[in-house]
Amino acid sequence: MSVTDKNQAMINYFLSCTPIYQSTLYFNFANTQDSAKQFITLSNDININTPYIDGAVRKRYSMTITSFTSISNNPIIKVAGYDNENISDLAEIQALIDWIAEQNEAEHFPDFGTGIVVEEIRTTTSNPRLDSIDATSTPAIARYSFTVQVDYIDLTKVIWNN
Amino acid sequence: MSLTLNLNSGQVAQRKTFITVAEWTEGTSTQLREILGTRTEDSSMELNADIETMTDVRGITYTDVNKTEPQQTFDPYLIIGGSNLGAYLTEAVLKNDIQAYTNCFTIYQIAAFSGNSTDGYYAVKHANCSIIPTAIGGDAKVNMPIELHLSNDITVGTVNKLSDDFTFTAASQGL
Repeated sequence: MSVTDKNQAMINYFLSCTPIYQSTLYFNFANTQDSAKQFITLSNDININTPYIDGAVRKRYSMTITSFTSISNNPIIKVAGYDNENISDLAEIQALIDWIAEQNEAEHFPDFGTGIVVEEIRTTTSNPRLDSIDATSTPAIARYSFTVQVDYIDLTKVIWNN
Repeated sequence: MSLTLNLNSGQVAQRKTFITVAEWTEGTSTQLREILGTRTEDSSMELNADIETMTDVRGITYTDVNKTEPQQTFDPYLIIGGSNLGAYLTEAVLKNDIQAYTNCFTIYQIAAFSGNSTDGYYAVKHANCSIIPTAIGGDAKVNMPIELHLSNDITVGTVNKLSDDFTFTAASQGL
């Protein structure tokens, strides 16, 4: 039974998201440049695994996606119709979270390979978090992130063949 | 035929090696089988023994077991794509077709920790069993808990493999 690398499967999955595909992508390491995105692996707690009586195990995979975006020091213009760059940039990252929710609703999941049934993909928060602002760079770079969780059933240890 | 453990000394049998399989007929000839317990975290066969105790004039207590009524609950029993039994029972529940699940299942209990793929795995066959759905609904996912009521129409034997297309061979009498 072939084993699919789940990190690569997640990256392949997110390449079908146009804004991510059009970004410069990094895995764990990243150059903090405008519009870059970084996939960061997380350790997955095996204590939350749920074993079933047929030998299947429910598991969870987690990954954080960080998005770097230039940030403006312009104040909000108090006239309707004028957008603030910072608000617009945040909305673009929010759209990624919304995209994941739509994929889950459509049951379009990452392909974790043979013997794995993905049941759900979701973000742990409904909106991105602002981790930091690097004001020493030019332009200043804001770092937003959100965490993605994938719940899947690992059937590789099941002894009954359907 | 006796059950011998195919385990190393001190080794504990894994739960997945105690397998319950339902067999039933749809229509006039289509015979189907399905393992029970998909997405179920914990399920045990309860014997429900009818016990009678009495104490004689010397103060000694005797226990009589009149009968057992083995049953096993699978909760949750989720409606999962590809499950023929899930479809069959759901239809029966929605149509309130009691006859569809009463005394019409053959249940195989397979002890895969006894035997092997060469000689076969120890198994018992219960004819005329019932699988009774007790509810249907749930929260985010459709759950239809079921109760399996085993009959005492038992044949001991072996199954040749751990898959739906196994062959059950009854043990010879006297072995």
